Amino acid sequence: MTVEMTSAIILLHYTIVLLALILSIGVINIYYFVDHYFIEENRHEIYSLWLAGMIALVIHSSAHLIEHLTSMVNVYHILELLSLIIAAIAMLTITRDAFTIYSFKKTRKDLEKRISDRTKELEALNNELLKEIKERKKIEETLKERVEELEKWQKLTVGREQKMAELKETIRDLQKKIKEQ
Amino acid sequence: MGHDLLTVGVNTAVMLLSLFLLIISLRERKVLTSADAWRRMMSDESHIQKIFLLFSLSLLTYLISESAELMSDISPSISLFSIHHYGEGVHMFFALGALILAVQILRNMLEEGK
Repeated sequence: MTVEMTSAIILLHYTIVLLALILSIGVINIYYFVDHYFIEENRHEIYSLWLAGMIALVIHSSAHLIEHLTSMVNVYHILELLSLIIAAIAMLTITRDAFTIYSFKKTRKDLEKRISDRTKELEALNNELLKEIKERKKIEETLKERVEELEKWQKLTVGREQKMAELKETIRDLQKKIKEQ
Repeated sequence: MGHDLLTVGVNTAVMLLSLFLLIISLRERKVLTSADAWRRMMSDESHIQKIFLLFSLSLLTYLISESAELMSDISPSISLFSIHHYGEGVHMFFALGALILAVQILRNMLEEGK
């Protein structure tokens, strides 16, 4: 085997390993987040993925059969690579679509969370304000009561002063009368 | 020799089954993409997860098998071809398991759709 041929085979195997890695990550990702990918709006894309997967499997198994039953190594490698490319393209397409839907859902969820947080904050603020208004009303009532009490006291004090002045006047009159007598 | 026969058998089974599923899927396109069929399929989400688990295992064994082949190509002193051969067999075996589960789902989707 020539050096160029060996290098080409190594490069081919590198590509195959890379594609297999991408596919493995993609499938494991779908396995864990199956509810993100399998949504009704995505059903046509899932169907396409399914078809692509089946085509890839037919080609892939044929490639293995050719490897085991014949000596057409080149055909085997080409078919294997082809099957992996089909599967990888389908996987990347579905992953991209799912990520778009997932990010849209995430943004909506974030917004809903922000709205809910803000509503809670506003409710708390509203409750605080209501509490403050209640307290102020209570203080106002107390102040009113105090003012009333003070007014009462003032009236009482002013009345007493007046009475005292009248009494003093009377005493003075009486003293005057006594002196005149 | 026995190992080779088993690998050929598994590969043939995978090829025929996937070809059969492909033809059925193409013929019953409308039923399979309908909202009702979707709901029937999603009624058992764990079944789909099992299929993807088997496909993940299949791809991981394939990755190991191909990496072994690559290692053997890069440095011929390390011979990992036996890992490559067994890995390929196991990889197709897991794929066959996933396909059998998929047949059940497809049958469920098509039977109730009729």
